[in-house]
Amino acid sequence: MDGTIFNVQHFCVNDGPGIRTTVFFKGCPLRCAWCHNPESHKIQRELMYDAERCVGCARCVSLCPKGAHRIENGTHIFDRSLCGVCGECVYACLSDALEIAGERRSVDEIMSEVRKDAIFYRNSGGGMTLSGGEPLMQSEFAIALLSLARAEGIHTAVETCAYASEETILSVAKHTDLFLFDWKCTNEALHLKYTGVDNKEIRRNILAVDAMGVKSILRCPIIPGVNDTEEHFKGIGALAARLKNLLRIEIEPYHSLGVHKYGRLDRADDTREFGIPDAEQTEGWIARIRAYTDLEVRLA
Amino acid sequence: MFYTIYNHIRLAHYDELAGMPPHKRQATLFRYYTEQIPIVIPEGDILAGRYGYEDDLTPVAPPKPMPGIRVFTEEEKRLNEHFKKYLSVEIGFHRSHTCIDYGEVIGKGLRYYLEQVEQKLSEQPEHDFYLAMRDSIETAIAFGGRYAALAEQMASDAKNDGERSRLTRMSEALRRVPEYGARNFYEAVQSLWLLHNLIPMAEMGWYSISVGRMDQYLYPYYLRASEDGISREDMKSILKNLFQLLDSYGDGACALNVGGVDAEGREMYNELSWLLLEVEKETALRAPIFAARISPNTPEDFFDALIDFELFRIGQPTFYGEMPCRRAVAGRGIPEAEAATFSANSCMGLILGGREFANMWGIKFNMNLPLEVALCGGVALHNELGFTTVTKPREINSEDELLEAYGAYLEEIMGMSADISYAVAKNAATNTSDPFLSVLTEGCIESGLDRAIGATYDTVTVEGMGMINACDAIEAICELVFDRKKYTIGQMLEAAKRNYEGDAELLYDIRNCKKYGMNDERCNRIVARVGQMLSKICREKSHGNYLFLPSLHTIDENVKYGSTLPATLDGRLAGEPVSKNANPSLLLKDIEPTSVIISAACVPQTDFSGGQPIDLFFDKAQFATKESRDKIKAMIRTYFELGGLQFQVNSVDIELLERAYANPEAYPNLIIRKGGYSVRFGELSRDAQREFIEQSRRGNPA
Repeated sequence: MDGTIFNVQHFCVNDGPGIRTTVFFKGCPLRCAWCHNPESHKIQRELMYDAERCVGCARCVSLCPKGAHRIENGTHIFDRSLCGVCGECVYACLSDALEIAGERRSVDEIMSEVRKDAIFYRNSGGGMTLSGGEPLMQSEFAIALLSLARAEGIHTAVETCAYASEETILSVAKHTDLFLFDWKCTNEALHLKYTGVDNKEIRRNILAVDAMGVKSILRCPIIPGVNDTEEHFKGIGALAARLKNLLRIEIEPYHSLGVHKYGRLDRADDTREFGIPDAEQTEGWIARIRAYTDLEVRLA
Repeated sequence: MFYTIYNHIRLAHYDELAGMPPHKRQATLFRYYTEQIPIVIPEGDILAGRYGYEDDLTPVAPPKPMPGIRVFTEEEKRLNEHFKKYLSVEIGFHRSHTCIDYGEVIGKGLRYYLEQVEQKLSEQPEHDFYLAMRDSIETAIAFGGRYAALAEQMASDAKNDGERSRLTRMSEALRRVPEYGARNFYEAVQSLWLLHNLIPMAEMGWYSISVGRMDQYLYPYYLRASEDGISREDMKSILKNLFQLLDSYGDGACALNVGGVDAEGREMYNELSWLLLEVEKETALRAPIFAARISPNTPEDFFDALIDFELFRIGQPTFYGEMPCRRAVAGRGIPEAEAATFSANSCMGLILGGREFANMWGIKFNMNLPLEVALCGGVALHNELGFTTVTKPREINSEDELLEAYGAYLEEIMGMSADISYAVAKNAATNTSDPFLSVLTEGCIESGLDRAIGATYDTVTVEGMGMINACDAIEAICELVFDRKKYTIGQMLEAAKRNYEGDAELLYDIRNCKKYGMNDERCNRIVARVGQMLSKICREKSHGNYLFLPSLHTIDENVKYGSTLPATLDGRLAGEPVSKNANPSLLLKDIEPTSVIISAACVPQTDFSGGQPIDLFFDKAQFATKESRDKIKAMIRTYFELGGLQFQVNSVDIELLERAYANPEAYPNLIIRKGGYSVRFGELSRDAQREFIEQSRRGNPA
């Protein structure tokens, strides 16, 4: 079985317990305004073009079978509508200006990559994390990976926005030791406005997984001016109170590391920037959430 | 410092010294030096032993060489010069880099050794090396006497009781040590410091002299300190002063070992290890190198205390895998129980303190040379080889054939280098001996030979310079020539010869080949094979007490060495640094620490007993919680479980970030933690890099 992923990263220390290998799934049903991985949005493979790195050598122009690349007045023009994502141009480019986001990989290929670090999982209590994008969008592929990992004694975690059918998430949960639930916005209208979907299903799914007895962590991106509100902090506490298997709450302060990637996907117009919080602000948020819960609240 | 003063002495006494036989001359130089160097006891020092400021001395050119006894053959001399000048193979004798058995010397005192030498002289009264040994011991004792006299005089002039008591304590100790055995903790440390000074004076160069297993040999004095009226606080002050002195003199590469496991399997961390760690944390100096020996049973609380950002920030401690290191020492053919007594030495390497003389850097072998010679059919790619190879050229059409050809030429050229190395050591033993260090190195009194060839073990580290580049080059040939058939070997050789000028596509393709450090199956196999080949020839060339130890050097020699090395077949351009330690090449951009660890474990670590560390960076945020610190511990433990010898750590500091910002190419693998994610600093936009630095300055890089 194959799936579309955009990265397999070893030595991840922030995606669950111990040292982990994280598999990044491509495709996400949400469009969070603050997302720093825009290349994860579409499930299809995409060509990313970095104009800053392009030296205008035109090697791609001659190799592209669709004529998607051309040079006009010394400037490289890439016409995405013509691109067949064949990747010929990527091999031709000597300045790394072209890159394909996403590749089809088999379960065996991914697992052989994951197994490489088995000794680290054993020594650190780590394992494999599926992240994204959104792993639930390719749930069968996710289940295949999770069940194999489990059978080999590898701890399994899934980082998810939890936006899927209840049946889907529960079928994945059967093979998952730990969920990292993104809980983005308590206010339904704001959730819809900033992510493109409402949060009713998400809340339902989180509760349903908890009812199965699967451990979880709430991961809350906090974006200044969007969800750094008392309503949301109180909402995090309230949701936490309903989860019997919640280990802790982690906050992820906004950062702008991914903004340059929108331009490489011809989606510069989608770029949204918010204020970058300082340490004091971050600590303040943690303190305010703590007022609504007895659970541990910390930086992710 | 040494050189200026020694040059003055050589100039002033040239005729007298030139007229002496070499051993006598060396002992006399040592005596003149210790007699003439200005000594001082500054205010506040608890230990005596500071010396010399040469502000009044004008540097002078070295005088013409002293007459020597000819040891080399003409051909050895020619080859040695040719290898160095044209092939980047450097064969030398490197002084210092040693560690004596401090426990024994401090406990017994120099007079014990004098008696042994006198015994030998009673049998062979004219033996010039024994005479020189006797002279050097008397010199060392007299040097202690100079400090005693100075302290006594200063005590008599002292203005207050506190000062008088400080100086009196000093002079009383110095009237005893290092001539006789130390009676208490203070005398032991005083003796240690004077001995530690005398070795570089006798070696005429202070490079990387280490202090061994201090928490073991000082422990008996620690245990009876309260009976001797010495409090823990007093001991702490004494050790702090010692650390300051170690940091002020020498080159920083002075290893101080803590912990370990004894021959019976008992863990050896003790209260003194803890005290030394306290001192290390409170002084936070570049030297000594805090060499923490980690075994599966190392006490968790001590291991936890070592995982400290404030230490990592300054590159401390260095972790050594106790059992892999011991296996490596035993692999030299040394009995297990004796191997258990090893010390981490210098900035890398393992030594049997007091029984071994380590000719570190003895051979800097160009690991790319045999590859080029194999591919060129028996001649060098960039220069004249300077000799006709015995190995016959062969066809190369596969990974196996390539590695076999590489191994054959490696064996031939490295074998020649090893033969020259022994001649170099004999020359050192004959013409530039060190009678004093020889006294303190087991085997030399018995054999009447200098430490260069007469120690129980004389070891020569064979630094596999650019070994990782050679392995990556082999991988590139496999990928581009054998697998993809995109280029021929001839095209690759021509391109490297041209320093890849006009070969952008080939260079790009080579640089995008898989590399050591990615935990790729073939790359791992190649590094294992190449490592085994180097180990095999080193083993075969070792004889008697003279042992060749493969090694991948540390410190920044890779930059200097690379600066004169032509382009290599892994896409490294002429003048660029070669790989360092067991780290991946600088051309590998995507470093994943777990992959590096597993790759490095494929280097035959046990055979590479000359040492080869890996370096890993840890972001400050990684120290935030016990859980996250435990992940660092797991990394270290895993490396040692896989057989790794040495794990060097670092953490990100602002200065480093600034350097990486100013010169991104030099730091392709700097990983930072940002917003809960590990990212490569170089991959951030310039603005984001700047922002991260500014946030770090504000104490909130995450």
